[in-house]
Amino acid sequence: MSHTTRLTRLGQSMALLGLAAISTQSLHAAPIAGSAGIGFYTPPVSASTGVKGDLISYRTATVNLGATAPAVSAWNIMYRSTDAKGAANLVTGTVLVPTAAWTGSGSRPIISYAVGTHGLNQSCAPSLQMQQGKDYENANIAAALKQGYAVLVSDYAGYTTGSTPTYLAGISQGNAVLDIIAAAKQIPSVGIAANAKAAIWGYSQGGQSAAWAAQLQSSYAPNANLVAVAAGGIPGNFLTTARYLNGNNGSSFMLQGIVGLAQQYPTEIPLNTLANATGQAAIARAKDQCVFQSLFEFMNKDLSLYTQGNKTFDQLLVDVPSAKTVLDAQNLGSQKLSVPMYQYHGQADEFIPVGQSYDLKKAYCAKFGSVTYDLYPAEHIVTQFQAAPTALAWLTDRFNGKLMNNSCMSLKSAPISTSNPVNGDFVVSLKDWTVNANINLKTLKQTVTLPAGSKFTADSNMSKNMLSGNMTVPDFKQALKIVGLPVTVGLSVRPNGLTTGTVSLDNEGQLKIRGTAYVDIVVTSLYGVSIGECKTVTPVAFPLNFDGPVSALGSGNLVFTGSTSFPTLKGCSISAILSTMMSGEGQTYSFNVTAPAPVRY
Amino acid sequence: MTKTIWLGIGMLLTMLLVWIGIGEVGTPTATTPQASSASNTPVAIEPHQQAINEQPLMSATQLQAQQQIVAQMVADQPLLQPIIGDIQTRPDFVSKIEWSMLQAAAGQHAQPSKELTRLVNTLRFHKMLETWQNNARMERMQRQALAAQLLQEVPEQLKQGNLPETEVRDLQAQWVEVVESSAAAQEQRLQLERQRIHDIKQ
Repeated sequence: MSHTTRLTRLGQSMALLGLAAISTQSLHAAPIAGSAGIGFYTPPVSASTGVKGDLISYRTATVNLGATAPAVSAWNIMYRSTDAKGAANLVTGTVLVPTAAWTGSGSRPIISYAVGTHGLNQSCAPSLQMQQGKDYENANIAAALKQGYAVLVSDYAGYTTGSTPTYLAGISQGNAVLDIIAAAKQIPSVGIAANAKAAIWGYSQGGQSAAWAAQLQSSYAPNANLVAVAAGGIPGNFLTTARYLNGNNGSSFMLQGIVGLAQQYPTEIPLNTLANATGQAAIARAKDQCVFQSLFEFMNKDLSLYTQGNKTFDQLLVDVPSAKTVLDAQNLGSQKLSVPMYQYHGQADEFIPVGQSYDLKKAYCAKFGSVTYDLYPAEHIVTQFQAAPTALAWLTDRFNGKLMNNSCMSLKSAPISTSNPVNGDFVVSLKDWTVNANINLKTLKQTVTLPAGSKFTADSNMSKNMLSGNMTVPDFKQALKIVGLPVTVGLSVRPNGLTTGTVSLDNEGQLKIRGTAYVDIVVTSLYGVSIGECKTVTPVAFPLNFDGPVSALGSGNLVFTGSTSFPTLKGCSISAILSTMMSGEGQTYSFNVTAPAPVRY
Repeated sequence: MTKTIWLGIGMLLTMLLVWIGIGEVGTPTATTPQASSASNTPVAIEPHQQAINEQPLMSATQLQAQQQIVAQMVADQPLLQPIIGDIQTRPDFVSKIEWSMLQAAAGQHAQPSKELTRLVNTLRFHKMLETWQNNARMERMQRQALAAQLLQEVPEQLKQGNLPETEVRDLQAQWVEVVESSAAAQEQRLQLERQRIHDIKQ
């Protein structure tokens, strides 16, 4: 070989190496600047070609994630993904990167946050909800951002203008939460490294998406650098879940699911021919609503109301076998997980049955997947937010490469549902929730802290907007400075009648509680000396008022604060001095009510 | 052959260990700045402390005896007059332990002397109220006089925030029944007293 030839070949090799060394961005078409306003959601002409994970368009965005969320740089994006049938589709979403520098080791990790049901109308898209500060999952997204992670929130397919979400088409959703990882990295100066570790976290529909992503990732997105998945409230078996939802509190999810799956599988689920006039109207209505409005409007409605000839769900499965095939195709558990999974479910889940979620865990474990499963005590909505700190901590440990034991070898029997009756009124129960409470005595300038073991149990009837419950407090002693020195005071806080009030959840997921707890306060001893019972002459009324996001039910932020009056005390030889020290207006208090801890299964 | 079998078993065991997660090893890294193990436990409750070097200041019997002395004194002469100005010594209707408690509470205030006077007068009111509640068989004229004084003083107590309004209204109704003899006079008087507490809250 001549010297010239060798040089030429060397040059060619170096050129090839140089091409290979260029970031993966060169494999994707160059993105364009997205339009302002709702025009962003109209696919540009250039979107007709490309590969999955392509960033099609982007624009800087303003998001409102609540007062405690950290400052972020935000972008709306449109990117290419793949639907459940393997066809290319376009998906919108949001990329959030904390403005504070990443101080952990390596590059800033990514969480692809898979949202739960938001609703079929375009306005329900998380990217639009976050702009307005209305996304009901803000608390979880903000929590991930506070850890310093970049958070990517796919809208899932179907929120581009003129489209309908392919709600509950699992493969499409799984692909979408994987492809957003590649797409986000193509935003200029986004601050996400090409080799950043990624995790996927989602609940309910989001749990379904996260689980699909874990099943698909090794073949569909092998370069995603996925290290872990946290998935809760998963509808792993669609037939079981559909039967649980049909005609019950969660029937709106079934209606939306049929619309979404028909959108993805129009031939297999010919909605127009299957739906009667009532059904057509319901579909039109559901497409115009977001999740909470649909939840209440379509609650407890049997599918047969909407079908030609009022065919039941089971009849339809026989008459339209393609529809059953579609449902079965959404089932999870037939593929091995590519990464460890933290799976969680509410034992009282009234929408997605707990039993089938545990079956899914066993299915994954049987395929040598690594699953850590926690059973939370509460119902569907509470669990989504109660589990967040544990899910995030678990993901953080995976980012840090911490050793873990999964719970595949657990010998516990399958959990039994403690759900309220799923038909009729929609009741969210708080069973033996922990009360952390402080009462500030104005004159004494001392704080009484209720003891460990103080509990609150209540039923929030969201259909009738009624709250009814009871607080229990063990008798306790506390040191109070009464004579300039700490003196042990025996106290008893005894409920006097039920805690009652009103509770409501609006269409934007805002919870409003107005209630009152009535208790008798009894002083039983001083300096360890029994003084009999010095009791308030009438019960003390503690107003329990709360206005805030529904996420507070689970996130530990259900806090009732206020000011109340203590009546005089009577019944012992020192009642006059106790009245002087404790009675009157301006006694402030704070009650923080939280759900019991989960159990590892 | 034997070695091969043992090697095979070892490999199977290793695979099993990897599967149940014991064998998962990632890149050793420093922890992130934020806590890696969040907790689901709620905000910690302030611990209930035992009194520091608590020596009962007196026995139950002594406490009872002290209180009984002042209670009897007040029962004998229930119309305790308001105290004006700084209080230097313990009033007769205040027991020793009550005096310690009042002084300790007043000491936390920005103006301890003024607060002590206020607290003593509040205790004075509560003692009269207690006498009213515990001595239904009090001589009629004395009971009337006590009710009248309580009626007179309760708006100020309400103004200071020492009693809740609901309780004040109940007590006013009880006192008016004793102070006024006829139903018409009682109604008129009650309206007047309600107006007084309304005015004092403005």
